[in-house]
Amino acid sequence: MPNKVPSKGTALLMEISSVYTAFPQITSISISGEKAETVDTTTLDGGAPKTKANTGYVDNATISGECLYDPDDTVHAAFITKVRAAGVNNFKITFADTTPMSEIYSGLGLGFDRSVSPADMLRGSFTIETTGAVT
Amino acid sequence: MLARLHLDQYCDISKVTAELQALVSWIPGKNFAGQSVMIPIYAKGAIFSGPIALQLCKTGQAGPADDECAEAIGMTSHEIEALRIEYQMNALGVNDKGDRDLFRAGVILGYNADRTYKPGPKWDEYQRAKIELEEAEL
Repeated sequence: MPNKVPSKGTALLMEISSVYTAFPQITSISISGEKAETVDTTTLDGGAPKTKANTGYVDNATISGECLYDPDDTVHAAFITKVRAAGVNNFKITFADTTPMSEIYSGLGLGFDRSVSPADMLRGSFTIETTGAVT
Repeated sequence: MLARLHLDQYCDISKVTAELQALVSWIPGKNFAGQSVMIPIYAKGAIFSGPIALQLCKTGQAGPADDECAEAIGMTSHEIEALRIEYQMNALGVNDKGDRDLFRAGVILGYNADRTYKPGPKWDEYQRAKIELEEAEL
């Protein structure tokens, strides 16, 4: 039976030197955009309702979120280093006290924006495009 | 340079070097489809050596296990302990400010699967203090 699952206890882990390391001070996480691709198959001799079909491909998810940014934090610095290296890196999302999950996202196209405002803390927002299958 | 892992950590088996292979343990889990699979981890207490040891200490995942590492990290034992607790909260997804205060104070250890609190060693003491405070306010 499905359970109502609050957000508390969710963590984003980034692979650093083969160890999945928790991304600190996260305030929100979103995993969006995963979608089976479709194509319009409507023909001129068809009826009024338009038709679609699956192409067999799937658009990958993008992981994004916000955090309180600490320029001295080792993991924040490691993420920015990975952004600038423009490589591929594995990520995991974990939830509170659930069965250990093997769900791994292969991330690329990493981005990290920082914002500074007198009335707010230092904030960062990250994006991680993903490629290939979730394994 | 040696460091000892404070807690179980997931391992990316595709990135494990030959030197780290001996540290990998496998635990039962599930994949994204809900099927049972074995999942690679580095278990609590695993000893890492070399540059990765220093990196794990800086994130709070591990503590120095020899003098060389302790000297390289350049932190007091109090700072290392604070970093360990910070990391543990991040890994458990304890992000709410109030919950982080409770975690640091030993009142909670994290969340159960239904997101209720996992009581810590100071849980009963905290509950008693709350009741006393409520009674005093009445």
